[in-house]
Amino acid sequence: MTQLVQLQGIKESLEEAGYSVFAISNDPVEILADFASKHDISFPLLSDNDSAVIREFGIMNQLIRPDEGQSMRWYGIPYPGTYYVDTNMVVTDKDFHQHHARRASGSSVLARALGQEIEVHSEAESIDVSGQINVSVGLSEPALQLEVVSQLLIDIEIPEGMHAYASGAPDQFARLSVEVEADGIRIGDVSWPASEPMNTLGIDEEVPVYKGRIRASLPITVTSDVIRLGHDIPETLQVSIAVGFQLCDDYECFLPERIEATLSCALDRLVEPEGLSTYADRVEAIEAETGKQVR
Amino acid sequence: MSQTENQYYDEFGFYSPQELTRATRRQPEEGFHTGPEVGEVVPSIALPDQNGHLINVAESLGSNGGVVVFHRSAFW
Repeated sequence: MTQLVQLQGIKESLEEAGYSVFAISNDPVEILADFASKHDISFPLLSDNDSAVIREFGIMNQLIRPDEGQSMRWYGIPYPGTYYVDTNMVVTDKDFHQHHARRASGSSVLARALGQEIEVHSEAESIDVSGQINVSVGLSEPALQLEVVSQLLIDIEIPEGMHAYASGAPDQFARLSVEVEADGIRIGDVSWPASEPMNTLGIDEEVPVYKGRIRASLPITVTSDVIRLGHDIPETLQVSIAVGFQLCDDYECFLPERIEATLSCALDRLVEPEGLSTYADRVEAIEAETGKQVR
Repeated sequence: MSQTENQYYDEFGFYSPQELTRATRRQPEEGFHTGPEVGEVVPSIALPDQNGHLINVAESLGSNGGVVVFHRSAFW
């Protein structure tokens, strides 16, 4: 699964920062051994064969009945999620997604564990566009992966002595905004940094503004729309970004403007599950090979 | 999205060649139980890894702690 391969990618950075990483599922050891050797996974893939730990945590998927998908071991799977624990096994943070197919990306797990801001990945495509403001756009991952939530990071540089209006500013000002569009992606809400209050000419109350360099980030996820049957999987996705703003200094305001850019995002090789129908076959093959009862 | 009317698209726009009624595609309610909360101690974990070695997570943590990921299956 993509998520485990991404975790392998951040394992070293996590360990350097003093965090070890563990993955837990109800897969039998043999299935995990098979997967680990195929994808070079070196961190522990723990086998909670009877879902005892999953039940202990209280996160067993209750929507699956015991009689469903028995050959696939559906019964006993956890709701997928991540716990961040300190050295006393106390939860310091956690991350569960309501949708079973959605995952946090490797870089967001790393940033969250380390309590750092997500950075633009140096191997990812990035672009700079200049106008009244400088805008640079990049991705948190070298490439987007299906149903993995990455971050689109938009750095905006407002010239010295100028300010742009933030959310909450009066309607007569065009507030800083970001619009993102592309086929086959899902975009989440923009996270803006905190604005600062400012006394503006001609207005009695303080107005929320941004100055200097600020970063907006948006969750970006490739949806299965890109891999519909009968279509080739594209190697890149063109993502259009538009930043709207209005700049003012202490005396006057410029007209509202828009800066547009197109980011070419690489689509990563998908680590596709070997398929629902082949699971039972694979278990049988492993049983024949090892002489062990896997199910 | 008109695709949501299609039985293969769920309310979030996810597509899969399986009917929505299949067990693995059912959605938990919002606010579903997600186990120990921030500040609570997690249950102890001692399980075999992919090499068959018993790993006790509490004894294998890094100097600052660990990341514990629960996932559905490595295989499907």
